[in-house]
Amino acid sequence: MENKIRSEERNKLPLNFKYLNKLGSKKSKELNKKICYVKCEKFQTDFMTRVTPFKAFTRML
Amino acid sequence: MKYFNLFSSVLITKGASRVLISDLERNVSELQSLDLYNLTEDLKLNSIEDVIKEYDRDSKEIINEYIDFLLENEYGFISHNDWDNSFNPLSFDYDSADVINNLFLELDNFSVLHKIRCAMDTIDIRYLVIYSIRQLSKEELEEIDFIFENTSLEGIEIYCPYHDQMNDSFISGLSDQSQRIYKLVLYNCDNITFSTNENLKFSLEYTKDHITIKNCGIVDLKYFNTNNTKIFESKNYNSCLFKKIGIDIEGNIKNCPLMPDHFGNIGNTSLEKVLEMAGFKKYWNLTKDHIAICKDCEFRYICTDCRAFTEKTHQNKDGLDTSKPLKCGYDPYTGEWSEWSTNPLKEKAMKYYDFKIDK
Repeated sequence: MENKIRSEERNKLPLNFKYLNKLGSKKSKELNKKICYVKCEKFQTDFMTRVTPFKAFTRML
Repeated sequence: MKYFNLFSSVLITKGASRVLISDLERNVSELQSLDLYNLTEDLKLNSIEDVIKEYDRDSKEIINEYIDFLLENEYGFISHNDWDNSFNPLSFDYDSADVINNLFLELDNFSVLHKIRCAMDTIDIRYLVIYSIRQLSKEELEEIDFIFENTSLEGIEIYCPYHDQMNDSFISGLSDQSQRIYKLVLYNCDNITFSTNENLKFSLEYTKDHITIKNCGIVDLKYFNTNNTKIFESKNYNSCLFKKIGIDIEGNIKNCPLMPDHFGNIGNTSLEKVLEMAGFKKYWNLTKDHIAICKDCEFRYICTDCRAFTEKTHQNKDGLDTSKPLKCGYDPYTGEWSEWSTNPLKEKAMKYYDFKIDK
């Protein structure tokens, strides 16, 4: 594994960029399209982001 | 001496026969052998050299392969002379600002929606899930969205039967008008009269099956979620019932519309009062670590629990049902999935819930 570690790194992290998502790529444009905002009087904003839930609330299918 | 440091964002959940490695940065999980778990535990206490020297020559190769696997998948890194103490362990504490995260409603009458709307002046409800037994027109679907205009409700998910008027203009018109609907599921959908359009503001799903509310509670890989919020919630609270409120077709307020205990009716009790009632939150703190069989399952923190339909075999000292969810076909002791509805050991519970038994 030694040869995979960059010598200039103080903590010798096995860094690589294979998971990097480039800005402006096709994928990030597609994601931006799906962002929806809703108006909310209580929070005094016209731009409350509609976030997809982090889990399935029902499991019927 | 070299030391292996597991990244704080990597959670290894030990099951009875396997481990699940969850990468909370990339939101992916993968199954591995128990040996890997034992190795990572050893590596927390000893240097890599000290761990390797405990094994015979053949095993040493395997241990090196495991360490390579951990490094190549970026589950950790190597430091020299000591573990790298610059990285604090991840806190798994969980809290959220919502009073109610999701309200699951079996819809019959729109007056219930207005009552929920009124309750939202004092309590925040983040998501609304509606199961409708009857067909809904475009105007009715738009009305559901309109009732919650300008409220702190973030999203609405609707299950309703398909009907012939649901064509392209119906769906695209609804998408244009709606703000909060993020998911629309159509059941009894035999003949599709619309094209699936990716530009909709909500996700559209359909099935030809007849879905009843009693279909809920399925435990399947497709419903597993690897993300920080899900895992932190599961480690501290019940992964289905925490901050959930249910209203059944008769207006009874429950933890889930499918559970038998109710805490008053929406017609004469407010949601705020129900939240203060003794016993309403009794299942909120029941984690998978205290549920029979689930506590030995490697999927326990990425799976969503079900207390409405269980195998009805265990109860804790507080009288809470701590049995395995009925609709789970996974056996953590063998690591195999099977069809839950044909399992003879579940027949008794299936009869109790009046489910059809397939032989």
